[in-house]
Amino acid sequence: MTIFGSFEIGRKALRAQHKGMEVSGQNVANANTPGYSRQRTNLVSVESPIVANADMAPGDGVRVSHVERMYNEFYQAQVVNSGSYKAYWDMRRETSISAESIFMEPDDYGINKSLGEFFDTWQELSSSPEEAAVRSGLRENAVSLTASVEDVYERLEDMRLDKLDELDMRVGEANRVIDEIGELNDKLRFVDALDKDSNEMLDKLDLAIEELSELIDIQVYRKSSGAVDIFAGGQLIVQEDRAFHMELETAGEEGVEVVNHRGKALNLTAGRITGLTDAVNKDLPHIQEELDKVVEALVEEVNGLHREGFGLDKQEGGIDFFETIPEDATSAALNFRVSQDILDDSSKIAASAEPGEPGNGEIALKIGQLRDYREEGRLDSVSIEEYYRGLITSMGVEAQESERMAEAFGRTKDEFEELKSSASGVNMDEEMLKMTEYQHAWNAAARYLSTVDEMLTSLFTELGR
Amino acid sequence: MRITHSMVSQNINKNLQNNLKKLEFYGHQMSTGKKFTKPSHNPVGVGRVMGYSASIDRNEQFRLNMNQSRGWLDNTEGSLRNGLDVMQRIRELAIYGANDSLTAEDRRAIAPEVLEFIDHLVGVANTESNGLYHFGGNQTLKAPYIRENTYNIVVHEDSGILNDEDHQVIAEGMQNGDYQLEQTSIESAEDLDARIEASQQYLQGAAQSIFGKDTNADVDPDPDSEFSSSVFLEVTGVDADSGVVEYRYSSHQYDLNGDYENKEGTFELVYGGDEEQTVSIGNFDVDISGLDELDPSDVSNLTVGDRAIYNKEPSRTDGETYDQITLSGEHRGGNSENIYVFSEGVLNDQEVELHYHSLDTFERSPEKGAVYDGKLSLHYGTFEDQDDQPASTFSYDSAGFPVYYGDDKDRIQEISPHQQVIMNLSGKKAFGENEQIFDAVFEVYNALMDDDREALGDKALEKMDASVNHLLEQLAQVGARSNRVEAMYDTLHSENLFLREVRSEIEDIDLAEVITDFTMQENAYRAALATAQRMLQPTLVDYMG
Repeated sequence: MTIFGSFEIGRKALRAQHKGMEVSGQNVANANTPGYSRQRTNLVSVESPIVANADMAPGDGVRVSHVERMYNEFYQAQVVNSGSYKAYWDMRRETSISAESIFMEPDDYGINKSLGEFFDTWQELSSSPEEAAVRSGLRENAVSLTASVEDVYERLEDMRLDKLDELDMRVGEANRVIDEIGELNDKLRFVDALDKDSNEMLDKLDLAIEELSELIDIQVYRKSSGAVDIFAGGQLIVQEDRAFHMELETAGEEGVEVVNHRGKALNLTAGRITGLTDAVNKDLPHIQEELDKVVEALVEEVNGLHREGFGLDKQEGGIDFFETIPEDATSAALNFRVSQDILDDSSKIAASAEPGEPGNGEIALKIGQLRDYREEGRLDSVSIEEYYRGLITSMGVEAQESERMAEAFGRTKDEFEELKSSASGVNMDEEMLKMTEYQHAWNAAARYLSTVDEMLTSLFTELGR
Repeated sequence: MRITHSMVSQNINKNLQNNLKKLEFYGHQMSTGKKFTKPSHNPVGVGRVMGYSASIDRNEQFRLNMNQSRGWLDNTEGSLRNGLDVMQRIRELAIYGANDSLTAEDRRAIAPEVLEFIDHLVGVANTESNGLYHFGGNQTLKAPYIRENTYNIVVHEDSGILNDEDHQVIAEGMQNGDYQLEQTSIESAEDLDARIEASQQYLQGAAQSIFGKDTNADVDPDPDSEFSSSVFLEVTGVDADSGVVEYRYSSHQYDLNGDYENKEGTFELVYGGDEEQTVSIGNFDVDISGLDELDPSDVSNLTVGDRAIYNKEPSRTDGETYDQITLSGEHRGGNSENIYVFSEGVLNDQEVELHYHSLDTFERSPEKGAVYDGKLSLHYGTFEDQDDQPASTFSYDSAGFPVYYGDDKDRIQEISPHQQVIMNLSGKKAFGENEQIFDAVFEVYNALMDDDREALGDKALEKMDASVNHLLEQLAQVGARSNRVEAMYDTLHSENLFLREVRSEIEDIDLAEVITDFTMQENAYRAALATAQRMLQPTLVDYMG
């Protein structure tokens, strides 16, 4: 090697250490950037060309082989996976907690209280069927019972419609994310062809995948270029630079499902979107149906007895207490009303089992006793009140369960994120040390160059004199 | 494992969150006093609390209801005691009245006092509170006992129209007299038919006595007549030696227009004489058979003043619309002696014209023996309002026998989920079948009025004793029920205390425990904060440069 070759070593050293410094700078700068994976400068020594009869050569200095992106593929996949489930259970929890707060149990404003008061007033009427005050009290209690049931039902319906809106929005969001993934795939292919480092793009891609996984559960197939193909629910939604948009379609009576661009249903099992379709298709309609069942049983039983009875006013019998639920009604709860006859005239409330007996409260007593009445095979063979309480309990269990699941998956996700960030995260101390190292190396290389320069100077000046 | 600074800060954040969440949890428990406020906090607990709350509310309602049954039973008990006191007083008066030393006037002087007590007793039977009559069974909105025969009949002196208190015309052309009509609310022709039968039986009984015991002597005036007729007979002389009895008769024959012909006269019958005797009564001859089988001494059964009335229903063909009826009147609480004879012609659907022939036989009537004849119209159902007519009040006050208009229904109240109690006592049970209690007191009253000393000491007293016993029995029964309700009232109270305790155990916090937990959590939180402060501060950057 000539002395000029020594300059070359110094130049390479300066450049390599500077690169290292740059990378540290990038790491420190992005210490708090979401999705950023720390990078490491990989230095390799440059060996001397093999020349016959050459001197013993120490090598030709240093060069940066590549800037490595520090990350762990396995942990990344786990974060994606557990993220889907966490998002799913978070959604379920949101739904069930909102639903249970609509019911306002076990407060004094819930249906349980109204139902109890309704039966209590019948009880009271049975012992004072002549009293107009008790009659109108009963009517008011019945009206407030029907109003609170209807209110709960309507609010559940409003909530369902809100969820439907959100679902629509989320599907749009997912489509935007897969568009982004498609674009990144395209860029990655291009960069790969140029054989360049694509660390920042990969970070962005992983971030997009994470974002997508919170909406739907996905399978990711990574290629050597770093680009990904993505399947969701058995259907391909991203292939290279092409993103296949998903859509929302009505399915069944009131339900919806997510379909791919060809109209094929995606068989999704997790993610916020699945949580939303579950809420819209199953969870909320189920609660509404249960409420309908309670109302149907109540109307049928009360009316059945009430029709046998007679009011205070005239000798008329055969009047309904609640309006009959029409055969073709979509919901009993929405048609839950005190009949107009009773609203107009509380003396028509049929407390008596016999016409013209104002002191007879037998029918009122029987209606009051309905609260203990269990019919084999209907409402799971329990009383109306018990069935309603069962509904509340099961909603509570549901909420508790989703809370627990969300918590569990959240923990799993956190764990994997931690493990992931153990590989990808930026440690300041580490970067400081690296900076110091590179600084020292750079300083030394600079000194080396000035020494070589001195050597050359002395060679020129001493020899030339 | 490699630890990064963002990991440290994230973990610290997470731990602080967890600590704060727990702190909030205990804080929430402390501020609400409840272990949970939402079903998801403790689904089964919430279900159970809801169940217990419903049971507690329900028991409260039972207790509220029970206040009512307690009130009713107390009232009933009080009324019965009150009634018993009155009965005792009446009984004392009856015993006093049975005293030999009293004269008829003395006895009659006691009667008003008895009547006062009767009034009081009827008041007791019509006890009401809050507008509800306790002794009416399920008929609680109207007084169960209504005093019948209390028609204060008003005769308009100038027009001769008979009105009741509501100014409804009962009859026209009546003469002022000491009688009153039995039931004036005739609502349909069927009502009239029923009365015809009843009154004929009555007359048949009278037929036997006017001709002496065991005769089969019969009077059949004008058997083939299409017209109705009536014959009034009175014994005017009896000769027990010869067996000759003198009679006075007054006969009426009516035509379809309601006009009548009246004939009066006398005849004689000889008992134990010829085989058959024919006497002429009015327009027709009457065969009297069976007198030969009698002994002259049988006439001793007859006394001057004995009377009888015979009515003849016209032989009719179907479809004809006239008829003859007899109405019997009643005086003073039911002992009837007055007889009204009416011939009837149906004028149209609404109105019927009646011809009457009546005899006042009532003992205390000042006009005893007077005969009234006339014509009157009865209207079915509605009567014309005669409000503008001047009225004069009828002479006799009637005691008015209270008749039960309630039913015998039990008023049942639920006092616990599986127990019921009867909270009322129907008038039928309290005051006996067929108004037993009132029958007894009227027995006393009538006996006093009629100066019937024997009945006072015997039959009336017997009835009174039976009635007092009946009341005592009912009182015992009501008392037993009342006790049962009281016991259940207390039971429900203690059950509710128990239920509240159980509910509280499920949902209420143990404050000491929660405060301890809260304090511990608070300490943990403070420690975490302090740790965070010290962990986040330094990096190598601070020590270089």
